[in-house]
Amino acid sequence: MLLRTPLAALAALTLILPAGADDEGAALKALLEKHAPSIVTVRCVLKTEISVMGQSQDNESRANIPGVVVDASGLVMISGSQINGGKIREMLSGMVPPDQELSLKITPSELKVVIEGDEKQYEGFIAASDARLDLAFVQIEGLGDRALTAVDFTGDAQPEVGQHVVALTRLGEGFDYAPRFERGRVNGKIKKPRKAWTVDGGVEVAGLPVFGHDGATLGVMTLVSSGVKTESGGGMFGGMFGDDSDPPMITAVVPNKVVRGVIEQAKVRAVEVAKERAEGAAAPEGE
Amino acid sequence: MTRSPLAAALLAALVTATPALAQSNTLRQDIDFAREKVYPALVNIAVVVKQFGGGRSQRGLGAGSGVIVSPAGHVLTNFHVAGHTTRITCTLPSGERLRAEVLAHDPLTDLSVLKLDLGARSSTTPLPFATLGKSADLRVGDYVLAMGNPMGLSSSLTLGVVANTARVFTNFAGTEMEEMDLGEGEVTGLFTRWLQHDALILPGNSGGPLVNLRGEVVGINELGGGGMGFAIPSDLASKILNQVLTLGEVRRGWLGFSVVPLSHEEKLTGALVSSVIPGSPAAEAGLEPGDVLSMINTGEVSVRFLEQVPALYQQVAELVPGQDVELLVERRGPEGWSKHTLKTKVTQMEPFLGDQVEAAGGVTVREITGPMALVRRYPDTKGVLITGMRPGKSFEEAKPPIQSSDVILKVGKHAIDGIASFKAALKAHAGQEAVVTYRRGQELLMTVVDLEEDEPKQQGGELRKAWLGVKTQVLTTPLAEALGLKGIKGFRVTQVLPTTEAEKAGLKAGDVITAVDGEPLEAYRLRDARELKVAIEDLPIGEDVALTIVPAGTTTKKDVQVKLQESPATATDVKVAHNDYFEVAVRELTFMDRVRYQWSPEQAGVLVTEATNGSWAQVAGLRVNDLLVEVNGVELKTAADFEAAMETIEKERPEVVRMFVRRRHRTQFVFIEPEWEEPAPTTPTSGE
Repeated sequence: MLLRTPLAALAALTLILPAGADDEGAALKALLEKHAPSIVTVRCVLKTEISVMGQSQDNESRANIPGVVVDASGLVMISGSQINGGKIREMLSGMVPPDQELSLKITPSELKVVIEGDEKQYEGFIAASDARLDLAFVQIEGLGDRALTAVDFTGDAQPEVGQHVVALTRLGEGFDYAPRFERGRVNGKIKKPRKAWTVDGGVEVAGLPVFGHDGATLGVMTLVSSGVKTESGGGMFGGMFGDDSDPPMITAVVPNKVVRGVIEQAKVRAVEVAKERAEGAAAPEGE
Repeated sequence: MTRSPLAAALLAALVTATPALAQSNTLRQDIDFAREKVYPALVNIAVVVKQFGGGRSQRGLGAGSGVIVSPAGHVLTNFHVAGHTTRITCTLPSGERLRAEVLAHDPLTDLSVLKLDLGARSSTTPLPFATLGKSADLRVGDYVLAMGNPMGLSSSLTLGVVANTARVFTNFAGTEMEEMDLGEGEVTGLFTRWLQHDALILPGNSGGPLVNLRGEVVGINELGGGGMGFAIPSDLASKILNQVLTLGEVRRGWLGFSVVPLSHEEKLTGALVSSVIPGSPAAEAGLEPGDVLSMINTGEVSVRFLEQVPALYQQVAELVPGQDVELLVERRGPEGWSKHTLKTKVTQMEPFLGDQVEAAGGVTVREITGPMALVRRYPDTKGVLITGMRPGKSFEEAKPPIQSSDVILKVGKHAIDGIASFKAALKAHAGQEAVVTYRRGQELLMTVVDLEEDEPKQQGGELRKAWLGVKTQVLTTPLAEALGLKGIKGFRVTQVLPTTEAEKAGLKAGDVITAVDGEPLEAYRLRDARELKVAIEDLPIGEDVALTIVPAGTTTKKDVQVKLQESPATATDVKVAHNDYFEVAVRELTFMDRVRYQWSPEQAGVLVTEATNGSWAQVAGLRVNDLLVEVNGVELKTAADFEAAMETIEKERPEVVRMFVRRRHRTQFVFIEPEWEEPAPTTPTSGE
């Protein structure tokens, strides 16, 4: 249809915009409904031990960490830093002279996994961790034949700068672990130390997948450390005091391609660790 | 004979200086005298403190001072030094170290009486001891010496003068006495009028003697700051010591009332009763707030100032429990003041706080005493008070949730009337779910606690990645130019790790890696430092990679094939072992440990990853990151070796466990002296 007057054009625009918003809303709703069953909550107790010159102090605290099911057998991916200190530990060890013998050790225990629509909290164990991508994997136990809905990371879609993206997470126990989405826009691409995309808005929960509006998995939001020590900004407190222009680490999306291999490795390791646990093998919980 | 004005002036100065010098010398002699009398009896007290928090007990180290006051080895110190401890070691100025046991604690005066273990004494010289003087004889301005171990620095002495002989702490309005909290609700100061002085005392001086120039202990230093020190008068300490030596405990009479000075009444003598505790002997006698108490038995009462309040409470405390007492009071009525004689029986003052323990299911609980019940408005002393819960453990996981400050009344069908019955009930329900009834405020609530405890099991470690086995630095542009490699980008090899594929391939320190599988490396700035690692880690383990290098000392590129090996095991991948008794955890060495510390492949040992604060091992000096090489002559190579060695030690229970460790650049012995008669401490994971 040919638009003949500005008024008609404006009228047409007002008709189109709500329709577009509705489409976006519907897409987001569909995305939430599709992927929410894969978003779980890992409850655990974290024992934090700080040791300075051989003298140590510890503290126990409870943590609720959002995770994503990456295999129907109940393998869950979460942020490494949230469960074992991951990148934070790495940063700490890099900033203190070795002769000061400062170390941070975070040991998770009492792992339980909350799955949508299930009153039971399932026990789990740490199957593997990957310091490189700051990810960790929890294997849920006691699922029997039940297959969970896993998020698929096999696609080759990659984020594009300017693209709107969505991440899913969950509220806490007090709100019955209700799922919700967070929206943002890819606002930059980094090449070093690894290829990753930064996102603005509320998409910042590490360890969780990031989706396009069409529901395609684009990658995983994770902590990426620069690995650079500088006088300002790059040090431990660079991001905390004064100069925050050069933080030692940021959250960014790493693409499916990188994550896939780690997930495959974790699946294998989960089976091995489960076997070792069943055999009652060896050592107590690792450090 | 005066020869000149200058000579006259000098002579005058000499004359006037002479008495000052004489006085100074006298003071010096007095100090020497007092020091010689008390100094040898001064003890440095090192304690292992047992604290409760987060639903578990934890040990810590502490230190303070004390003074030997009898030839039998009785030591006076502060309760805040010796209370809540599991081990007390006293070191004398002579260097002798002796264990001490607690004879009595008295939080209300912040005093503890200890007894040295003289049986373990090797010295044949008589045990030095100090004499307690009369603090009542002290006058403001008298010289006093504070002796002790400030900041853990042993045997220090400072000089000052008495600033006040009857200090009490009041609120700003000066209308009420302020009690001091010693932590966990224990208060002190009810019976004390402190000796205020200005001899410098610092943390660590606590429990040390305040000494007059006659060499008598006139006080026990308790607190200080801002140039002021406060000591418990020796007269009060003497009473406590005598009670402990004669009765074996501190025993006090209790009537259950409190007073304030008569400042707003027309009466000149007596004390104004401000409160009467319901159910107390005073209440039963008919004592009422507003009464003016003028006599207790035949003893007159006079409280016109706050400074006189502690003396009245001490007067009541000295009444013998079980005996009858008469209180003479004056009461205001419509007709004016009338006299009344009230009769009652003295009861024994109970400690405010009950015992606290760590119990199964990740919970710490406290026995409920009468005074606690009264203050918290409990109907009785039944049950146990929850003081903390370990996250993730049975009680914390209870649904509906239970909280700290709840009072557990029943576990299953077992009624709880104290710690013993609580422990028994938990034991009866071990491994099961139990319905727990508890009181919160006025409500009676119920919950379910699953008392099944999981044994810790194996967890997965770090995923392996492709690894080159070299350490590198970025070949920055200036460095490249300096090395004659202008325009070359990449990484300069700084170390080729031994026994790696890189070493086999012939890589050398100084080589520059410029490309991986033909893909040039764009590294020339510090921030490019991770490029090589990322490029390698993304490649498959076990495959060959072609590295383009510029060999050290050359400018020509060449290709080298290196097989990508698996990244070495990290600390999370190796076997660990934990000994509950010594509260020590170790792990096996990794390849990178040996590289980092330059330990050869033959170097035996397991790395200490945990030495719990206050554990035998930690107290003896074992540290995290020590390489534990031998235990009682047994060489350790694996976590299993450690477990076996410790098992043998627990079976044989030697007096001394000798650990040989490697700490950074040197080796060292750690001698652990456990107290085997004690039951094994609880493990961190299994609750009680």
